[in-house]
Amino acid sequence: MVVQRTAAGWVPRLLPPHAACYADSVSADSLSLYLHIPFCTSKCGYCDFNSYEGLGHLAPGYTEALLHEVELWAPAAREFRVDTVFFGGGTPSLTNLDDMAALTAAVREHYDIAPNAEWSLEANPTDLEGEHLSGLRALGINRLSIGVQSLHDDELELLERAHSAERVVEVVGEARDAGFDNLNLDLIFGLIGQPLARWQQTLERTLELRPEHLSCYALSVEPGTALHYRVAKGELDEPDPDIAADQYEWTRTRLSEAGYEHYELSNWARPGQRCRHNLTYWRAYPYLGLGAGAHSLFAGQRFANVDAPNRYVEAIEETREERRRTGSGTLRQIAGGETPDEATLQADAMILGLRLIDGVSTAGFERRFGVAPDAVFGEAIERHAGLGLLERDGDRLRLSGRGLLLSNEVFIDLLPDPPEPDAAGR
Amino acid sequence: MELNRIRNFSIIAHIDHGKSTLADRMLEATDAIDVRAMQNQLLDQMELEREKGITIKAQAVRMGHTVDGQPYQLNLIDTPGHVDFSYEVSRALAACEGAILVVDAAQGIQAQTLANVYLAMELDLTLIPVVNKIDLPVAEPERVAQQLIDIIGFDPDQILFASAKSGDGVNEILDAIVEHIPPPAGDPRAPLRALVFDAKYDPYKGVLVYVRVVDGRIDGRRPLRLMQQQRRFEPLELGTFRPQLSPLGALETGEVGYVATGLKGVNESRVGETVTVDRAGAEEPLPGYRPAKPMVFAGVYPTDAEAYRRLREALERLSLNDAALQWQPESSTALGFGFRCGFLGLLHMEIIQERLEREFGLELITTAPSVEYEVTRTDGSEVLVDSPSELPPPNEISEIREPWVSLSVTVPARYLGAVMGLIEERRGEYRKHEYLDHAADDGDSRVLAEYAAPLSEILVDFYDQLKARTQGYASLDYHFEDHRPARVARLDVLVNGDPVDALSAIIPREDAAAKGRQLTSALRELIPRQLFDVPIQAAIGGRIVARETVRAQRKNVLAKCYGGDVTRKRKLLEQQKAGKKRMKMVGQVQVPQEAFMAVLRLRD
Repeated sequence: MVVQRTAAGWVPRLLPPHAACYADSVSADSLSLYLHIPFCTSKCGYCDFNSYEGLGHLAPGYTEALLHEVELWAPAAREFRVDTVFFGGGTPSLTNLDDMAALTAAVREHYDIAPNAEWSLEANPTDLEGEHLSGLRALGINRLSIGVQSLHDDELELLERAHSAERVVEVVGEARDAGFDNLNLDLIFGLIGQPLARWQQTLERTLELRPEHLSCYALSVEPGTALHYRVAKGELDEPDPDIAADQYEWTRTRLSEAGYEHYELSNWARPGQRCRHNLTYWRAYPYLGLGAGAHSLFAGQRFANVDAPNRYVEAIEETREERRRTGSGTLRQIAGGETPDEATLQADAMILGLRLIDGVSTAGFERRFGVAPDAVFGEAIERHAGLGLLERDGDRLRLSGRGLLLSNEVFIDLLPDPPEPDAAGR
Repeated sequence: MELNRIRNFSIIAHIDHGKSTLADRMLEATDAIDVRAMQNQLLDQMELEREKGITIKAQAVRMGHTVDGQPYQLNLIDTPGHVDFSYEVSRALAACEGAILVVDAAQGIQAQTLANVYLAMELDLTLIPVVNKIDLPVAEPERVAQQLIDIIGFDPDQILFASAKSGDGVNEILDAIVEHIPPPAGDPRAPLRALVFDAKYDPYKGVLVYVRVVDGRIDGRRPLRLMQQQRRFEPLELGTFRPQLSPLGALETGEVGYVATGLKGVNESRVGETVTVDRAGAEEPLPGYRPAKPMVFAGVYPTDAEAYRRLREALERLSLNDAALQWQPESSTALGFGFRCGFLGLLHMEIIQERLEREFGLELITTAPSVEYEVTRTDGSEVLVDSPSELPPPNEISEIREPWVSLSVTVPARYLGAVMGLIEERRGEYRKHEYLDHAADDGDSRVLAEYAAPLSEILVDFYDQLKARTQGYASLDYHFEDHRPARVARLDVLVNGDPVDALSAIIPREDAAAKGRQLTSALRELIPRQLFDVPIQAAIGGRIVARETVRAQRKNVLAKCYGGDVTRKRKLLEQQKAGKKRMKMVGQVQVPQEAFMAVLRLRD
């Protein structure tokens, strides 16, 4: 599918009558920008993101294309104030400072950036050195998200991560020295053969580093990854879901003691330091994803760019070429998308909203859709409340402690029904 | 055509010994069809038949062949190729005067081939032995020819050698058919008697019966009658097979063709029936008719209760073409409304199940297959029980008898011990064995061994086990023999405290407790973890003999946020939802289709 609109001619329909659904700092006419850097020095065994090793030579042309895409979307986004900018990957920390300077400058030039905007960058411990760190800070990057994953070297090896536990400790110190006062550390628990105690050690040592934000993900063995292959071959066991559940429950208790707020299934933050960018996703506020394979929710549509970096670079060139000739045209970098119908929007609002620990405001839902969640999902809500997976707290509907880990069981029942098969049964 | 210019024949062969390929070559070599329009293996028409490499429905084709300047009409009647269909095979053979016996030059004679050879001999058919696939690198044509001489008693000079694949020897086979197979011996002046050797439903013409005219002629003007069923009908069309239907004015004595009856279901025109003229017809029907007798029974249920009506329609449609398929409504507390279906055998069951799913898009749960037990109650009354739930309470049963079959297995001598072991595990008994290669006495020489065993014991993975234990060398044939007293009991299964009728099974009393333990542990593996602990118990007559627990699941979560890719997240959830939808809700527990076949896994 191709979105047949000219960026210049687009008057974006403001999504959020649902803005009132959530009371927070993100406002209705705010926009988040995501910029994807798909390159990695080496691809980790568990990773199924749109990232590539060995394509570093494409980086200069890719940065060019990304700069163009920043510019392409600017007219469509002119009504919005950009509240968060997120460089994700892949490995954005591989991008050299000159390119980063060009990208941040272009974003500032073409968009209305909020003065207190959150500028995040995902980083590998191995890529960051003193000068690079202070350079990023000087460019206005004010939040680093560091892929730590584990503080045991043998586990890092299993995950095919290039860094050591020691390097993590160093890099956090260096980031502090460079002036970063908002650090996220990414961790993975539920590793294959990982007992509870090993995870506890990783988390305790991580807490000593005093991060402002923590993301703790359960390892999932995704189809198409090297890890999946090794498990399928029998070389590695499947991760044990019960141990992962123990680890998760312990993590919730421990982080709460340590003064972190659990605000999303996998995310914890010091008060006031939740990741505003990721909240945009959970709240279904508009975001524009730029770069190969990046996803957007904009003007009532969900769409994504082509995955392959070389194809993305070509597509951006084609878009620009057509635009030069005709003044308008198709956005050729967009690979596909959907305009969700009302039922899908309602389901998305519930499924995404319930990932937040505060859950969904039933009044807010009703203001947005003109119908209460109970009228749409009553049966599923009752069932899962009965099973102890959902809880009501006044206006709010949220997952229970047990429900967090079984959230898919709840979400499945919130999906809209697929179309009926026709009479022939096909 | 004059009687002495007609030859009706069949091809007897084991699966993969080259029957279809030979038939194709014969059609090419004669004027039967346009070679360009020819698909490989024309006679195997159903998609499933192609996939499984077997023939389910009999087919027929008329060919012209000239010998010494004289034209002959050759009618090839293709037989179904599996033990489940031995009655159908016998009727197809009964429509012929001769048969070509095709044996693979590498594999030699197989049990099932031999069974059909004996069938053909009983019917006085002239056999033309052909050693096929002589161009295979591993071919041993001399050794296989010697088997034919030793076991069946052919003369060495009767045996033909061919490669159906390359076409070598095919003309010689055609000539031999004309030379050796006798012409039909019917009486053209006698009242019409035509043997129905297959029937097929056509939406426009109703049931087409495939017939061999034995006496008299069919002229298409006079009303006809099916003698056994006492059904009168007006022939709408008649003709022959080239191989597509090709209308003719009349079918003469000895000829093979079809008659469109306008009847609505093949149940009304069972294979083996005799067709005569309605008025002043024949007195006596042709011998050998036997009503369809299903041997294997199973419950067939739609996964989605709303598909019940579609399942009924699909069964009705399949029945139009398959007189051996029987079904009647049944309900299960666990599975809701469905049908108790009777099949000729396991393959037949598998075929029907696959066709229901593939051709009608149905999602089905099939319960474990059962045989039909004869039960004498304490009050002296007799009941037939083909479903565990119908078994009377133990205190009301005086005797239970179960069907036994005779089994023939051909296997290289060195595997005889392995086969014997398997038969003994299955409560079977040895009868006799004979060497097929008289000359050789090493471990490679083939043995035909005969056993008897309860049918219930060979329903379940017997064939797979036989193949596994003989490295694929064994072949099998079986026939129903009689009912014998059985010491069996019903094993019940409780899931989450509720008895699940669809999981019950009738099993030998001796190892009932052990089976109960195996069944609960198999079910623990098959039933996915739910949101609460699910106890699984096995009980005999109300006494719990085994218990397992499926522990509540604790984690089912999409951890990562994938940079705002909500569509993908939704797709993953939809996949999970679809997976759940394929399961059956039994009380509060989601039970997958495979669980209802768990009783089949009881052997290791």
